Amino acid sequence: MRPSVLYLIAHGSLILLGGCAAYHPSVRSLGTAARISACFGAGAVLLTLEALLFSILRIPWGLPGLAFPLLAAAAVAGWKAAARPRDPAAAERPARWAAVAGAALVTLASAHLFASLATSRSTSVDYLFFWGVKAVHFADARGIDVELLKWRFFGHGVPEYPPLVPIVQAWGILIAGEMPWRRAGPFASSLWFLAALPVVFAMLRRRIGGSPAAAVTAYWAVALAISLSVSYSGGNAEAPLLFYETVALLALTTETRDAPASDRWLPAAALAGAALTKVEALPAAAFLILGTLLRDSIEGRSGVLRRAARLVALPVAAVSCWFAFQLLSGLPVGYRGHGRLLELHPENLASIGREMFRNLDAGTHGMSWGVPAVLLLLFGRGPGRALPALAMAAGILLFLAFDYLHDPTDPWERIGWTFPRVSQPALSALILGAALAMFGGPRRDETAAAT
Amino acid sequence: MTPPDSSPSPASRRRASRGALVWVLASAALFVGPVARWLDVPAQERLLVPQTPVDRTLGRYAEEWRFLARAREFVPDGASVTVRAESHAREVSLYILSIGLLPEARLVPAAYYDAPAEHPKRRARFVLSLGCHPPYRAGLRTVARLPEGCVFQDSAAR
Repeated sequence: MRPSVLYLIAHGSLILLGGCAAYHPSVRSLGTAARISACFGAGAVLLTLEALLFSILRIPWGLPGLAFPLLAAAAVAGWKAAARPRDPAAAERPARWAAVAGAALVTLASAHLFASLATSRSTSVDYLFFWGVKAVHFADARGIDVELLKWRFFGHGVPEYPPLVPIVQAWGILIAGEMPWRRAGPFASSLWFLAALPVVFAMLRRRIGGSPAAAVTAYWAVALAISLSVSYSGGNAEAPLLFYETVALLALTTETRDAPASDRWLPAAALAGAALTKVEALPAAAFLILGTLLRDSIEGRSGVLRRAARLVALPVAAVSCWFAFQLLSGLPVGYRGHGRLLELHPENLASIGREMFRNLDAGTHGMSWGVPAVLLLLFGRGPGRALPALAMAAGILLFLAFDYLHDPTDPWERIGWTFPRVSQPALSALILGAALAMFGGPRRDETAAAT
Repeated sequence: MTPPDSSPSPASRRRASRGALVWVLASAALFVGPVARWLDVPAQERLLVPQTPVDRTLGRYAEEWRFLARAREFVPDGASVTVRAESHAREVSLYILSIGLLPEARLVPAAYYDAPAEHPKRRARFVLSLGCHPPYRAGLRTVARLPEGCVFQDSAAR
């Protein structure tokens, strides 16, 4: 079989590796497609943690060694779950016109992204400079290649970056036998985009109803497919980050007031995935948790701090694993910042604001941002319920501005290179926040259950 | 506590439908830009299989990638390799690309950002020269002449 096909199959196999996630109560109530997506995301997180552990213990990576423990965990979870009654599924279906229009738009958006990635129109340079490079060397070394990360001529490869993407890509190489650089490598980013779609629809449907969920999912798909394409996100960490942050955000914004504490497992696991994917996930997670804390306090929910602590614990544990590996391998521990924390250059503020605004284009002349912003302002009936999403969107943009303020010279060029892609989780949060503020009411499944 | 539940009224259903229609129409409108960009591309080139991962993003890197992908056929595993080009910037990017494309080679960077990096005492056995610039040191023989450059070998080096 061709290496490119095997590489994509390897990515698909993450669904099996993360199979245990399908049986968690917070995932069981979602539809089949969303459960598969949750397994895909969980598979990447579990594989990363396991591969890290293997590297710490100096156990060489191999297919059976990495796969068997995770497959066994999935089998045990499935066997235990079989004894429990099936959870009721959220039921409101979209109207036929909304389902047809939504499906058509999602198909077109996906086709656009597939074609862009497969024809090298959207390849990230970072994929060639370090994401894919680390993967090749990790697969060759059958473990995290500490020598590469320590090499003084690999400083451009940001050796301290978290390891999920290179490990998942290395898993693909272990199965494919080589890195399919040209097409399958960048194309695999579309799998993360595809995986997010059923989760977006399933979770929105519980909160805002069938037709609005179909329509908003379509908008999310079109806006993000175009953005991923124009911001050269093929083969880098943007699509996985978008997946994890979107899942975490939706799980938190669509949870009920009296949801059991165990429902926080899904957003916490998604935040752990985000934290293992990119450094920028940490401030985004902080703003999301802060927004959730505020919403819970405003709504008078019980155990606000205790429930927020659950959200913090998993991402902190995940990042700690990576830092522990750094420590035990003699690598510098932690992340490098852009200069000293408070050494800012406010003289660049006007230029930063201008360039950030200009780079909100997202391949649609800014419409992708403009539409949800206008809808939120005009029809947002309850911004409180969308608070976590809006806090995350605003927080990411503020954090990026703060980061750019560290550049001693006008950072217009860096903003042009980075902002269109690193702002994507904020775009996702704005779309979902606007939709929840516009349509959000009592959960539809609760409504259905009560009648 | 969960707020009191009730089935959505017909009026709220209609409102939700109208709202959904707005989102659907807005989604369709977003496609204007991408459609225009695809139409800009000649029909026969739209789905052309790329030769490199960056054919249509950064032509400069595409040329370097093609060269390295061809040149690696002539480099045995474990051999020391350096990359040369007409400019410092291209030597840096060639070197960076070669880390991924020649993982089995022992790379000796000719340039790395601020300073020339090839250690004078550690000469590479293979010199991959983009643009086939004349050998910059004595004792190199031409192993291969490719469309984008040459592969030289220094028999005296390890």
